[in-house]
Order: sequence, then C-alpha cells, then structure tokens
Amino acid sequence: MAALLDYLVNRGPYLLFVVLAVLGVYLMTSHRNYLKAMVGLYLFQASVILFFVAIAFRVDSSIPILVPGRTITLSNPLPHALMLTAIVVGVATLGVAVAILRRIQAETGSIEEPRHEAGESGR
Amino acid sequence: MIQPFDSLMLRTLLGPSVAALQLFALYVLMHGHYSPGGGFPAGILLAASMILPLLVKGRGAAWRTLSPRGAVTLTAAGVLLYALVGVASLLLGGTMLDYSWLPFGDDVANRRSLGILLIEVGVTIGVAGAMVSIFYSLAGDIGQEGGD
Amino acid sequence: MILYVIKVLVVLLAVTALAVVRVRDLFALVLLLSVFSGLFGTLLALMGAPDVAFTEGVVGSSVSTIFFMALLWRIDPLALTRASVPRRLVSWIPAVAIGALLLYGVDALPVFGEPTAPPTTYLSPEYIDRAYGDTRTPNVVTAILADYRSFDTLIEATVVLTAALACLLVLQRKHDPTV
Repeated sequence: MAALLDYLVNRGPYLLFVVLAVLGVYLMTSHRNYLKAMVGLYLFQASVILFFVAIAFRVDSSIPILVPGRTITLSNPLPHALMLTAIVVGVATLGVAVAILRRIQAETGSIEEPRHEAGESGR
Repeated sequence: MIQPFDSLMLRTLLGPSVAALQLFALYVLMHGHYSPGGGFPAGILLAASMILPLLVKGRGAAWRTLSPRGAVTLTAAGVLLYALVGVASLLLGGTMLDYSWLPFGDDVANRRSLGILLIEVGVTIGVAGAMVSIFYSLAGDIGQEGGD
Repeated sequence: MILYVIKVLVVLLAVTALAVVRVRDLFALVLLLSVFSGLFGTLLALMGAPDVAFTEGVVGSSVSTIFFMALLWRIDPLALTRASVPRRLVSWIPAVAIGALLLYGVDALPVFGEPTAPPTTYLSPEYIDRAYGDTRTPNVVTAILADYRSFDTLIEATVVLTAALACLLVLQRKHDPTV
C-alpha cells in the first residue's frame, strides 16, 4: 500500500494525463449532445499538452529565460515551443467546430444526435 | 448581432479595460524577447480588446470597431507579413526565413533578433484578425456578412 | 515546496474534469471549462513553462469562452438529453482500454522531474547554449519558436487564417434549397 501511494505521488501529472485522456474519450463517445462531445475533445487535447510539459520538467531548474552573466539550469524549452503551437491551433479548430455546431443547429434545430427509430433509414 | 448588453458599470469600465488590454498586448509583443509571451498571447489580447466594445455596445455605437471584412483583411495581412519576411531573406541571397540576410543591422545576431520581432508582429496581427473574424461569424446571423 | 502545490493542483484538475463530465447544464459547463483552463494554466506555470501557461490562460479564459457563449446564445442550455444506459456503459470500454495502454506507457517513463531524462539531455542543451549567441534573445522559447523552428510557426499562422476562412464559409453562405 505504501508502495502504491509512493508510486502515485511520484508520478502525479502523468496519472492526471491518463485520467484526463480517459474522461475525454468517454465524453466523446457517450454523449449525444455534440457540444459535450466537443468538450471531450478539448479535455483530450489538454491532457496531451500536460504530458508534453510534464516530461520537460526538471526539479532543480528555473524558467527557460537566460540571464546573461549568471549560470542557472533551465527547463527544457523545446516541448514548450511545440505546445504553444498546439494551443493556438486548438483554439482555431475549436472556433471552426463551434461554427459547424451553429450551422447544424440552424439547419436541424438541435445539436443532439438524431434518434433512429425502427424502420427509418438514414435521415 | 446579439443585443448588446449595456449598463452603467460596463460603460464606465469599457474605456479603461480596452486601453489596458491594448497596452498590455503591445508590451507582451515587444518584450517577447526578454520575458514570457511573444506574438500569440499578444494577438489574443488584442482580439479581446476589439471584441469587448462589440459585446457592450454593438456595432452601431460611436466606437470605431473593426468591420468583418477588415478582420479577414487583417488576418491575411499578418500572415502575408510573416511570409514576406521569409521570402525577402530568400531573394537577398540566403535560404527562406534565415534572418541573417535581412538588410538592417550590423551584427548577425542583431539581424536575427530584428527578424524575430518582425515575424512576431505578423503573428500578432494575424491571430488578432482571425479571432475577431471568427467572433463575427459566430455572433452574426447566418448567411449575412457579420450581422446587423 | 512547488511539488506539493503541483500535487494539490493535480487533484483539483481531476475533480474539475469529473465535474465537466457530470454536469447537465451547458452554461455551467462553459464556466467549468473556464475554471479548468485557469487551473491548468497555473499548473503549467508551476511546471516551469511560463510561455505555455500565459497562452493557455489567455486563450482559455477569453477567446474559448467567448466562442462557446456565442453558441449558447442560440440554444437552450438545459436541453441535454442523456444517452441510454447501455450506450454509456459500452462507452467506458474504449476509454478504459486507452487508459490501460497509456498507464502501461507511463510506467516506463522516468520519475517526474528527473534531470537526466532523455528529453532534457538530448537536443535542448544545444539550443540553450547557442540561443543567446545566435539571436541575442534571452527567452529561449521565443528563439526556438521564431528562429530555429520558424517554419512551424509560419504554417501555424496559416492554419489560423484557414480556420477564420472556414468559419466564414460555414456561416456566411445562405442555405441553398436546390442542392
């Protein structure tokens, strides 16, 4: 039990990454409301960003900004640059997804998946 | 467009908020070399400062707001500025986006620092225009350019 | 000290994500997402990534919430029908399968924060050593994003432009009944 607790404590952000990914996938597949499914995609994306920043963390380091004349250990700046791109692209695709939802709502009247009744095909 | 939500508190806070947001966006852009930030947060702060008057006062008020066509033009201009800096380096003898071939400055490192600043300005303008344009599309009526 | 605050924030983020899954009111969902983004930004800042935290906090609290609200103006926030129980139970299967696979991978990673981990020792010391001499920019993340990897940033700006144009195409074209 102590070993399990020690394991959980040492890998906290990685476990949060797994929890967020699981909750994101569950939201995407189980909800009939498209807005909540989109929020599941947002949670999944947040989990991936968390993972990349967590693997770049060093316990003895400071933020990745050089101070000329002093030697300090810096965190790994390369995943930070990749995740900046990922966040901005994520918000752009969020805008497009909300636009598509808005159009779906205007054309069909609701943003839920249509229920299929027995004997009806397609529409 | 949605009915603007106007109240005394919002009208009073609108001016200082927009001023503070734009000044902070300019600061974040210019100090991207020395402190966290850079072009992307600056663009989004600028977009927030342009969306805020639309939410409070709508489009017909005395604020000079960006038109929907102007927002798309701004986005394209930002990306074009970025690409032109790259192509200028290409035409002046180097490879694309190699800022050491730009014709300003005396030292290679200073030229690269200036190149970084130029493209961050391009990114800021592009991101700000895109966010305002997406807001106009979402908040207006369907099939109509920008609503109202 | 920072590690303790990181652990508290991890627990808070997990609780907020669970609340996002369980909530039935779409308006409350958008506000919870705003809270999630703020906590997430704080966690990223404590993990030594101030650029990413700044962008995530600014994006999540302003633009993302505005986009969701622009949708919520037109729909009823309480009109959320629940899926049937078999569907909800079956949806846990891919989620748990992905979680098990990720746990198996996470188990092989080094301890959180270790200074000799491969991502930290492979390419980044070169960037950190050469950044100030090459570009006169103390912010190494900006130097990487705008100088060493500037092609990625150019294409990212193009993606943002494409997203704005896509929104225009989706929402500013009238419905054509002859199609």
